[in-house]
Amino acid sequence: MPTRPPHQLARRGFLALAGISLTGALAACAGQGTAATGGTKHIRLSTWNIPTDITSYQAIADEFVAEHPGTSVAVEVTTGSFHQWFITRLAADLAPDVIRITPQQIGRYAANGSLVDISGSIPADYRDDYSEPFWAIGAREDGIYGVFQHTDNFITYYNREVMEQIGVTPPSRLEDAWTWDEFLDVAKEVKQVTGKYAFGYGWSSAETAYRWLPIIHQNGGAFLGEDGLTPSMDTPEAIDALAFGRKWYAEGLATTGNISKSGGGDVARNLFLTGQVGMMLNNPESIVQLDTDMPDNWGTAPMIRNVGQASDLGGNALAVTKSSKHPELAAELVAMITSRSQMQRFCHDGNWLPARKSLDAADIGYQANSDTMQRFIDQGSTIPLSMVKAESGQYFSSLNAVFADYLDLCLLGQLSPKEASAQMMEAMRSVTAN
Amino acid sequence: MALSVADPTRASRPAPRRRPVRPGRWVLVAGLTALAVLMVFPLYWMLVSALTPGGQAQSGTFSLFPTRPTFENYTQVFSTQPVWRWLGNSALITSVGTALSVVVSLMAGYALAKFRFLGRGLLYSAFLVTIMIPIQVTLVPSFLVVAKIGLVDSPWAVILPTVFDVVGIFIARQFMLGVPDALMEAARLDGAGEFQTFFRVVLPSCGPLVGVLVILGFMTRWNDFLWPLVVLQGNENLTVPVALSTLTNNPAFSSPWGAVMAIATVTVLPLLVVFLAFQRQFVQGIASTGIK
Amino acid sequence: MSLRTETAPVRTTAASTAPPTGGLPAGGAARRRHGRFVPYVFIGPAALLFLGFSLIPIVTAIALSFQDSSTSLGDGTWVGGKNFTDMASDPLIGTALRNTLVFTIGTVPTAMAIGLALAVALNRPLPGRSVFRALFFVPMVAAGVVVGVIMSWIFNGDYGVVNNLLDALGLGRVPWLTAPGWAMATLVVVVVWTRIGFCMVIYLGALQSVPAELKEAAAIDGASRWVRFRTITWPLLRPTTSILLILNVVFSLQAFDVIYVMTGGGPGFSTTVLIQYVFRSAFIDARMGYAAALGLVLVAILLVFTLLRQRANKKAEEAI
Repeated sequence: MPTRPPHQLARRGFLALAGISLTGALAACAGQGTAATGGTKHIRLSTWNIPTDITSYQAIADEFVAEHPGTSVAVEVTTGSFHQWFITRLAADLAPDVIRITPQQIGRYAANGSLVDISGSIPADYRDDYSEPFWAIGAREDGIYGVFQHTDNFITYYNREVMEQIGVTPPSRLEDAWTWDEFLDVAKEVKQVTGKYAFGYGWSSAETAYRWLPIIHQNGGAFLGEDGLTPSMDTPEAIDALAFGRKWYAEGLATTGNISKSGGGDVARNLFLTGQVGMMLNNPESIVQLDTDMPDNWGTAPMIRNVGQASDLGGNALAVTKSSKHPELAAELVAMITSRSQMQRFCHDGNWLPARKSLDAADIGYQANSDTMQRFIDQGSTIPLSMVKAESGQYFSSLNAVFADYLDLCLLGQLSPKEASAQMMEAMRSVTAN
Repeated sequence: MALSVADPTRASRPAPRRRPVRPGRWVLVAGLTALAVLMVFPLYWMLVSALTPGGQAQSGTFSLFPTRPTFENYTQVFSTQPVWRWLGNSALITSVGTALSVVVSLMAGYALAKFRFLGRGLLYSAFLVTIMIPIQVTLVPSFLVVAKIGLVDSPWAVILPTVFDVVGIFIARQFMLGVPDALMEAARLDGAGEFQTFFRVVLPSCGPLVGVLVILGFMTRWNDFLWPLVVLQGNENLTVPVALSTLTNNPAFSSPWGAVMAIATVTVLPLLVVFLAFQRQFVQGIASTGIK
Repeated sequence: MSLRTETAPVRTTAASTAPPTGGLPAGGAARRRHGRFVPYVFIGPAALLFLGFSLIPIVTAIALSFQDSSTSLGDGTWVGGKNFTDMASDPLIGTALRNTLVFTIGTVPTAMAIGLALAVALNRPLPGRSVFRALFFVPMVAAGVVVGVIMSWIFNGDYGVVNNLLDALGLGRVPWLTAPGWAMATLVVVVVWTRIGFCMVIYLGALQSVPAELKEAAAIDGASRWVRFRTITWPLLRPTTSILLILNVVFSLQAFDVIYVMTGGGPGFSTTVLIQYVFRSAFIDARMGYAAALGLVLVAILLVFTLLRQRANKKAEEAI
C-alpha cells in the first residue's frame, strides 16, 4: 500500500490551489490596463519593438498631447507575426489607432477598408516633399491611406582587403555603378580570393523574397507591369533577369544556403562577416555589426544595375486603422510624426533614412557613417514607381509568397528560367483573378 | 493485483544478485552521456550565442566556445526592455492558469471517469475535436468571443480560455479510472456526500496526478505564444514568448539576436526549476495513472 | 481553448484506458447512490469553458469552410463545397500532404522508439540517473521559434558548427538545409530532438508499473533481456504506446513554427507541410474559408487515424 498523505493535506492542497488562483486574480485585476478615463481622447500607436524608436515615438506623443489638451497617447509594440495579429485585432475592432506598417504589408489593408483615408489631415505641402514613388506607397486614387516615414534600400557592400587583392576600385558615383556583366567579372575574382563564394543577397526570411524584385526592374522588366497590376513575369526581360540570378548559383558565386526561403536571419551578412563572401547586396541594418566586427575593412558602392537602376523598397509608413475612435485626431498625429522636423529628429535618433526629398545626410547629422547613409539616400531615388505600386498593391502578400516559391526553384536550378516564369505567371494569375 | 495505483517505490528491484554486467553498464553510461551531450548541445549553443556580441556565434571554422564572451547582451536587453515585467507576467499568468486548470481538470476527469451521464460521450468527442483543429483557423473567432466579453488586454484573456485544458482532463480521467470504486463505495456507505467523497477519498490519492498536471500545464502555458500574442497589448503586459516574437521574424528590421538569445536563456531557467522540483512526483504520477 | 505549443502535452483516448480494477463493477451505474446532478456539477466548469471558448470557434470554422471569406467574419459568401473542390485540384496540396506524411512517419516512430530505449535504459539503477532524466527532458523547455533559429545556425551549410566540424575532420560539408531530401531529414531530426524527452518520461513511468516479478520469473527461466522485453514488457506498454502514437501524430500534423523558421517550406516545396498551407491561406492569402476547409481536412485525417487506432487496439486486446 502506498503511503497516502492524510486527507487534510489533500484538502489543504486543493484550497491552496484555489487560494493561489484568487490571489492571482486580484493581482491581475490590480495591474490592469492603460485606458484613459473621463473625457480624454485616447490614441494607441503601435511600432516595432526597437527601443530607440519607442522612445522617439513617445517623445513625439508627449509633444502631441501638449498641443492637444484632453488627449492621451500610448505607444505599444507589434510583433513579427504581423498579419496574424493585425487581422485578428481588426476583426474585433481593437486594432491600434495608428500603426507602423511596411509598404509590402499596407496594400491589402488599404484596399479592404481596414485603413482610413487621412487626406483631410495631411497638409497639402507634404506631397511636394516626397518623390512620386514614395508618395505612391500610401496614396490611392480615392485618398491617402498612409504616409511614408522612413526608408531603406540595397546597395553594394565590399570587403576592402579583398578589393585590394584583386586590384579593383569599386565605383562611388551612382552613374558609375557596376553593370551586371561588370559585377559578375568582379565576383569571379572575388571568389578566387575568398576561396568560397563571391557575394550574398540580403534576404532575411521567406517574407522578404520581394527584395529580389529590383533585379527584374534593373533589366527593364517589371513584376506587375507599368501599372503595378498586371502579372508581367513572362517578358523576355524578366526571364533574362531570372537567368542572371540562376548564374549566381550555377557558377558558385553565391551559396544555396542564401536563397529567399533560407532560415536563420540575414545569411548574407553572416557570410560577409565570416569572410566567406567578399561582397553583399544588402540594406543599412548590417552597418552596426560591420563596424564592430570588421571596422575600416568594409566599404560601399552603388547598387548594381543593368539597363536601368533599381533598388529594394524598404522602410515604414504610418497609417490610421478603422478601429480608431478618433480618426481625425490619429491622422493629425500621423501628420505630426511625418513632418519635416520630427522626421529629421526620428531618423537621427534611430539611424533611419528619411522619406522626404528635402532631407539628406547632412540635415540628419548621423553620428557615424554619414557617407554611407548619403549613398543610401541617393540610391533611394532609383526605386521605380512601378515596383512601388506592385509591392503596395492589394494582393502583394500572396504574390510575394508565390514569387518566393518559384524564384527559389529557378535559383536552385530545379526549373529553368522559362519554366519558372511560366509557372510563376500561372500562380500569379490565379491570385489576382480571385 | 487488486490496486492499479502502482507503488512507485518499486521502480527498481533490489539487487541482491550480482549480475556480471558491470562493464556493460559503464558502456551504457558512456552511451547515455554521449547522447545527453547531443541533446543539450543546442541549448548550449543558445548560451554561446547569448554570450557573443551580436548574438550570433557564426564562424567559418570549428569552435565550441564564444571567441569574445561578453555579458553585454544581457545588460543591454535588461536595461532597454522590461524583461523582469515580462517574466513576472509569464509567471503570474502561467501559475494562475495552471492552478485553475488543474482544479477544472481534476473535476472533469473525475466526472468522465466515474459517472455515466447523458452527453458524456458527446462531450468527450467534442473535447477531442478541440485539440485536433488547427489554431490558425480558430484564432479569429476565439478572439471575437473574448473581445465581446470585454476581457482584452487583461491577463484573464490569456488565462481563462486555457483553463479548459483537454489534455489535463484526459490525463485526470485516465488516473481516476485507476482509482478503485471500492474506495468510493466505502466512503458512500459511511454516509459521505459526493463532494466529501471527492475531497476526502479520491483526491488524496491524486498527489502524483497533480504533479503531472502541474508540470505539463506549466510547460505548455509558459511557452504558449500565439494566443497571448493577439490578446495582450502594451509592451509592459507581454509574456516572454510574445515579447520574443516582437523581436524576431520581422521583415521591417533585423532581429537583435543578442537580445533574443539572452532572453531565451533566461526563460529556460524557471522552466528547468519547475521541472526539477516536480520531477520525482511526475514520474511517480505517470506510474500511477494506470497508463500501463 | 486548448493549448497548442511546441511542447506536446499528454493526451489519452478512450481506447487506451486500463480497465479499473477493484471488487465492484465499473461505474457503479447499477447502484447509483449519488444525486442525478452530481456528475454535471463536476463536469460543469470544463463544459462551460468549452461552450464559451471552444464551441463557437469550432462551429465558426466549420461554417467558414463552406464560405469564400477573406479575413473577418460576416463578409463571406456561401459557396458550398467549392473550397473542397479547389483543394482537390490544387497540385500543391498534394505535395503538402505527401510532405506531411513523410514528416509524420519520420518523426513519430523515431521519437517514440528513442524515448522507449532511453526509458528502458534509465529504468535500472545507473549512476547519474536523475541527471540523465533531466537532461533528456530539457529540450522541451525551449520555445519553438528560438529552437528553429538556433538549429538554423547549427545546421547552416557554410558557417554552422556541424559543418565546421565535418570540414575540420576532412569529411566535407553536408547540405543539411539546402538540398530537398536533406532538408526534410534535418527537420525530422530537430523535431525528434524536441520530443524524445517527453516520450521517455511517459514510458519511464509506464515501465515502473510493469510488475518486476514477471521479469524475474522469466529471467530465472533463462530468457534473455531482449526476449523478456519483447514478451512481457512490450505488450504491457501497448496502451502507453497507443496514447503516445496519437499524441505525436496530432502534434506532427500541427508542427508549424520550427519548420517555417528553419526552411520557410523550402528549398522549393520540399518541406512545405499542410499546416503551413493553413497558415498561408488564413493570413497571407486572406482566404479564411479555404484555410478552414484545410483545417477540417486535418481534423478528418486525425479522426480517421484515431478510429483506426482504436480498432487496432480492440483487436489486439481481443487477441490476448
